[in-house]
Amino acid sequence: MNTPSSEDQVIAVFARTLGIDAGEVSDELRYNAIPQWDSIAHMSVVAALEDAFGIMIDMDDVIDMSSVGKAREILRKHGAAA
Amino acid sequence: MTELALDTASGRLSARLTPWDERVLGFATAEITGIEASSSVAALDLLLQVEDWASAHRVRYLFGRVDARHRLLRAALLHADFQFVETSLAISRSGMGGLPLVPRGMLPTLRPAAAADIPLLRQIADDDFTHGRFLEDPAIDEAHARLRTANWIEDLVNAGLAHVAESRSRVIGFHAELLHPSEQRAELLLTGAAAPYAMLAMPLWVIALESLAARDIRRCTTLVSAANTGILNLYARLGFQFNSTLAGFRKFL
Repeated sequence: MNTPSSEDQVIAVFARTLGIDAGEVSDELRYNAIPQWDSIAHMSVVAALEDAFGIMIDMDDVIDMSSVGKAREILRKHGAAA
Repeated sequence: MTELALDTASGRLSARLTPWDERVLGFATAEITGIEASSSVAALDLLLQVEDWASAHRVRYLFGRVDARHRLLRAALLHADFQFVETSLAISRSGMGGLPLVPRGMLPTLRPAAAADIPLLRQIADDDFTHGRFLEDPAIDEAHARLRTANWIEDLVNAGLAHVAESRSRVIGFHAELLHPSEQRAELLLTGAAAPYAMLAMPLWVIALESLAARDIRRCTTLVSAANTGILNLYARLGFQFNSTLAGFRKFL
């Protein structure tokens, strides 16, 4: 498991996209657990992760991305250094 | 007479029986579809007349909505022992440009719903829709209210107004609309993603609006429950304007 830090690009993308402090983002943070991460923000998170890591996330993974930790797993599956 | 139209010098009222509601509630129901009055006395007189008409049709549940800014009408309704049970917002969007960007791979496809889709669409409506006039009325049995939503999507499919939203051959939700082509206008009747695909709500709405734009529809309107903050945030992000607030009332006769 990664330790959240300002160096962590996944954490940084989530924090920036959701408009929350990086300290509030951990691998355990789940979709819909905070008001900022709703279905609307989810699309922005996906787009931001695609931009940041230079990958294309497919539909199944979008649906499966239920937490920050899960996003990290998906990025690794795509060969991104997350 | 399944409809009532009262027109006097000091006010107007229209009402109709709603057999589609009676079908699930098990008793006759009617809706006041419009009411205008220049004074409290006139409003109360119209309400007395509509109650007489409703009673003659054995109606037990009489309901409607009024603009929440209309203090006189709201006072008259309270005075006539109606209760306010829900609030809705009338919203609209003019022009279809400037929709939020969604990765193209995320957009579902829409196809006209067919009879074979009805069981699944009914299930989605029953399980995953939690807002609406009857669902929010504490006096209405929740199972009946859910059944009413399921019946509604079935009726919309049978009327040719519903579309199935699919992604990779999986049904993720549905969208129903009523077009007014001569006015280049559409009413969004019932749209929603199935719970497992709630994350795809934004792409579903975007594809529905893009589909309207492709058919030269330039304005769309809909009614949203004020209690449904998730969908209100979605419509705000989609660039809809909030036009009016409607206070939903009802009375058991």
